[in-house]
Amino acid sequence: MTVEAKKILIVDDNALNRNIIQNILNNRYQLETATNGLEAIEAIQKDIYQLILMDIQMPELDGISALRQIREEQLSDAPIMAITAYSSDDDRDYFLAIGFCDLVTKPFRPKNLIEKVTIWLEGKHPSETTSAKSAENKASVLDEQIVNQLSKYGQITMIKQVYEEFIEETAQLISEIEELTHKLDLSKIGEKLHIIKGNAGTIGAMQLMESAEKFEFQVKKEIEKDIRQYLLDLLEKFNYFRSYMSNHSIFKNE
Amino acid sequence: MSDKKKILVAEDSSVIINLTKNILQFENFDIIPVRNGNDVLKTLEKNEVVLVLMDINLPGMDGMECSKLIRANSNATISKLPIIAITGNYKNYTLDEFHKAGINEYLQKPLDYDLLVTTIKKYV
Repeated sequence: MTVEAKKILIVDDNALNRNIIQNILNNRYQLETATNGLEAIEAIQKDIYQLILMDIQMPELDGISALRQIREEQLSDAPIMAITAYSSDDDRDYFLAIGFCDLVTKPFRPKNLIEKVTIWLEGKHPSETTSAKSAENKASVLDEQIVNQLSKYGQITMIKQVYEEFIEETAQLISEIEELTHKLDLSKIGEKLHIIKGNAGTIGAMQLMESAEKFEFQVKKEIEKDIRQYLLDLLEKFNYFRSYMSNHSIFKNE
Repeated sequence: MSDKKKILVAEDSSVIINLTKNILQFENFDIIPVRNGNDVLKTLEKNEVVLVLMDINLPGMDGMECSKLIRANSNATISKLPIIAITGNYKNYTLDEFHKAGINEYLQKPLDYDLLVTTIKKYV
């Protein structure tokens, strides 16, 4: 994962709604606002956004027409999330069918909004609709940019030690997870996966992070099904990472 | 005794503790690692630190509880310490909840160490 900024365009004619969304998201992302579909289109022509949050009912140009124009004229390929007061399953299906990636309902619940935005910006909780996108940005075994970033802060021996420790700790955590799968203790499994996910991401083991993330998402939903499968995938990604690192220049140049 | 400024790092992963230690030493700080939330306050009472880096998911008391106790401490040097939380937000806290717990800033995992260093330097 690179450290490039993620920019979100918030399109809503209601100032209060814009403020609420800004308050919820502004610690994490760069935000711009527009008050109707026309302004949104102007903004998209001037700047690149990674996600667009779009209200449906707006003056000048409503959200659905704006979405249509953005897609027809290929102004942006950013996912566009509908902001709506409607919330039945039928409505949801309708919005997804016409091309919105997801929808958030008013009144906003912060956790819900953050979660949805994160899913679409960080590629978390992959669903069918994101699979095409994640195939394009295939996660790397090791993100060299992160290695370079960390290398600024110390000698190669420090970096080497960090990766050794990571491998050791992750091996330990995975064996603990394996134990826990026999007891089906999903909440403990989730906690351990959470550590692996965070650490893997921090040191740049992206494939491993992705595997832990999918597994964590599954256990958080309290789904016992396929746990074995997820565990095997995690183990496979980990073993691959370990052998990849043993051939890496960090471990060879001495 | 070194005269470097000290940062308390409450975190249960050795990987993160050691990486943070290396990076902060490079930036001329010393760190005091604490692996269990229950030990955070005790450690602050015994050591003079300039900032607290706090993982939210800690064994024992979690980072939210620790932050609230720090803010409620009768010793102003402790209660006014800047707290930077590190979190994957596993428990789904809202920003509002972080602010109410007295957390000054919060960084998401995976950690971006450049951002961590700049954030720390905003306070010390």
